[in-house]
Amino acid sequence: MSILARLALAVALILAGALPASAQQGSLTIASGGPTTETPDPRARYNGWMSNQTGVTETLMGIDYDLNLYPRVAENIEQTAPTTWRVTLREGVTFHDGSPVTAQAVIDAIAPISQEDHGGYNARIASLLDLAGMTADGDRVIVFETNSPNAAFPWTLSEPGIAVLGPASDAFPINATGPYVFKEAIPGQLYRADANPNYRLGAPGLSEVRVVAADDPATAALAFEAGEVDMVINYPETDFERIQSTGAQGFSAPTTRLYFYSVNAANGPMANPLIRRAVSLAIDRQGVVDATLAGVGGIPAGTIFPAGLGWAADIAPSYDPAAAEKLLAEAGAVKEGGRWMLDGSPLEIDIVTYSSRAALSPTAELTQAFLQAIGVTANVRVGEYGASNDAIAAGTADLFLQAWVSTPQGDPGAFPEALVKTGAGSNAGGYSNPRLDKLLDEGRLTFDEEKRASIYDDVQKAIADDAALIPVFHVSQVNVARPGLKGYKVHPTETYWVTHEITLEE
Amino acid sequence: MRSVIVLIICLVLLAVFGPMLAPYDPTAIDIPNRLQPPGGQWLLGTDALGRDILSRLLYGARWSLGLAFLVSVIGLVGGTLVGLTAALGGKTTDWLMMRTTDTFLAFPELVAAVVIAGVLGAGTGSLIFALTVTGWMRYARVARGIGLSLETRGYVVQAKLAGVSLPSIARWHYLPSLVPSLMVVWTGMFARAILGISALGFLGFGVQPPLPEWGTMLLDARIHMRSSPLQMIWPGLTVVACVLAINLAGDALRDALARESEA
Repeated sequence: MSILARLALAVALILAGALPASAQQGSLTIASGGPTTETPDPRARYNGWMSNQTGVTETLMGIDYDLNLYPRVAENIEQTAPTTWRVTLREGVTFHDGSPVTAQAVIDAIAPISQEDHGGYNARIASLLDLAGMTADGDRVIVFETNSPNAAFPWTLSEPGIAVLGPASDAFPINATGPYVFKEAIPGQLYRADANPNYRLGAPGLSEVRVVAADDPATAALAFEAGEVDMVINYPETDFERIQSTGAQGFSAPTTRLYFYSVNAANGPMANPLIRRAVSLAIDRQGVVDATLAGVGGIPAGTIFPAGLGWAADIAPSYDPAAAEKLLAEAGAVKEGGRWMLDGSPLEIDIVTYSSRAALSPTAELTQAFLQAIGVTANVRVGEYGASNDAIAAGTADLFLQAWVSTPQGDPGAFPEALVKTGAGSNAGGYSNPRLDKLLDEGRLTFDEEKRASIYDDVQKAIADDAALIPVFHVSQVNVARPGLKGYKVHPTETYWVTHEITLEE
Repeated sequence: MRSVIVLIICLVLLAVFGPMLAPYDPTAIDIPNRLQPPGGQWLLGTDALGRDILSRLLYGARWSLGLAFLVSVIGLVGGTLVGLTAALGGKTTDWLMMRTTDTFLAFPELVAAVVIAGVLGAGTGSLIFALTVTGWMRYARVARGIGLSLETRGYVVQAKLAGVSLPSIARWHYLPSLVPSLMVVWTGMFARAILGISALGFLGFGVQPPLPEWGTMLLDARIHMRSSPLQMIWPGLTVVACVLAINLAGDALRDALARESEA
């Protein structure tokens, strides 16, 4: 063994040793983000993602691998009035503790989402649901009443946070319906679930699912090579080819996760739509994809939704530095000595991002280089997500590079409503466009699928025309697993990992 | 002793003139030539964004060595002032100064620096502040210890009786005796500062992109650790070589001073 290989192996063993779990017979150990609390209530924050991904919780509706909506714990959903939805539950479904899933139990599980004093309170999901009330019609039918007509409502019921939960107990702190039963969570370290032999679709193929926290992709990759984990979600794209050559299984498929810049539209240079569009035109998205994703991870983005996964408008990404400079001149900037000046000062753009996704930092650096190539000074700060968001909100940064799933519930409304609607929760940069707001309202109120598609085409065009946010690329999820893993596929919303059909052969 | 001087001069030259030797702009991105192996056009290869690694190491010397020098000198000045004040200021001042010093010493330096840098946010300013706040105490202890040992020396007693001010006594009678010992401590602290800057840079609290700094280079390269290990090895080796050289220099300085005092 060469000295280099020995050094690399030593580092791998040291880093991997820091992880708390080791692979076990019949169990699947996955390296990914860890839980944040000891009993992460699936309704709170984004906890529902992990419980849904690990097969612990299920939702009334689900999203299939082609982004189609299907009844999951529900048997069907029916709109009986513009603001009324009747959801019928499947027959014979039971919670992990053996008690039956009833309409009242579902109501009791969903109600706390809107109760500010409850641990399951979630303002984001409450806003998506926009409920006026819920009533049980017998044991199997829940009647949902919304405050206004909402075409996205059936899709919203696939949000992992709207989990079907029964009364919690010491034995079943998360009493759900999925193929795996929640056992324990150690904040920042481990999430563990055991098989539910009474699962309605058949006994699960694994005895146990463990998720060990490894937020850093490089650490997760080392843990995989050291045999500490069986699977890595979000494996480093740059090492994907090499790891497959060692016999590991590689999984890569397009998702709706979008890398994009949100803008500080309240003050600073990004308040000017001409400068926002200039920045967008100055970014060589193909170059970014080539450099950061090693050719396996994604495609340049012209709009917020990826082509081929529904809802995408026909807006191609543009890279035109000359046109960008023309827009800067239109915005009143003057080029002096190769640098653009605005109101007598150098045009300077502060970019912030965070480090938990490997492609974010290099993407920000590349953007900085592309902007400098046309004479715009750009600074990059890499910190935490919250600090970056605060910087945009406080006006101390102009662009915030983020990575979000653009259709987490399959519906096109949630993402733009959260990020570019006036006053929306994640619109930290204070962007406001009455026309866009009106279109988003129309999208919610329109039930005809074709008309909805047309409205969301207009939404995407309005976002692109005004550069309300700047899409960079749509990323494929890149995962790696041991050769014995069977039955796994990458889901385009990233919210489904483990199903009862997955097995791991030794 | 001569080798110590030569080594220190080499490091200073590297920090000052290194960038002039760099064959390329260290921030120039060249996507088609990313991850090139060493040799030919790029002596140490290129990184994930096609930037020349040698140029980044040479420019990085200015940041890594320069910041380490700055941090260690601020600590030297601050710590010496605290130590001398404690030695000359009477019992109450001594107690206050030394308990403060002990309190700072109670925290692991790097952990405290990470916490401070984390609270202040990533950036060069917070990096300097974090490492300075956690890096002055050893100087204070040494200065205070030597200062107290000088208190009963005849020339000090006479200066006090003659009404010479305490700052003058510190400047003309204490400082010359402190310098050799403080220089030995300083070499160790300079090496620790290089490690501290690299560690904070690796954790993302240091110099911000695209500026090259050795710890930040390690951070950028970690994702390519298996597919392109040289990305990490070059800056890692550079840090190791510099720290090792400075520590050896410190040892040589200590031995030379010991021989001098024996003679």
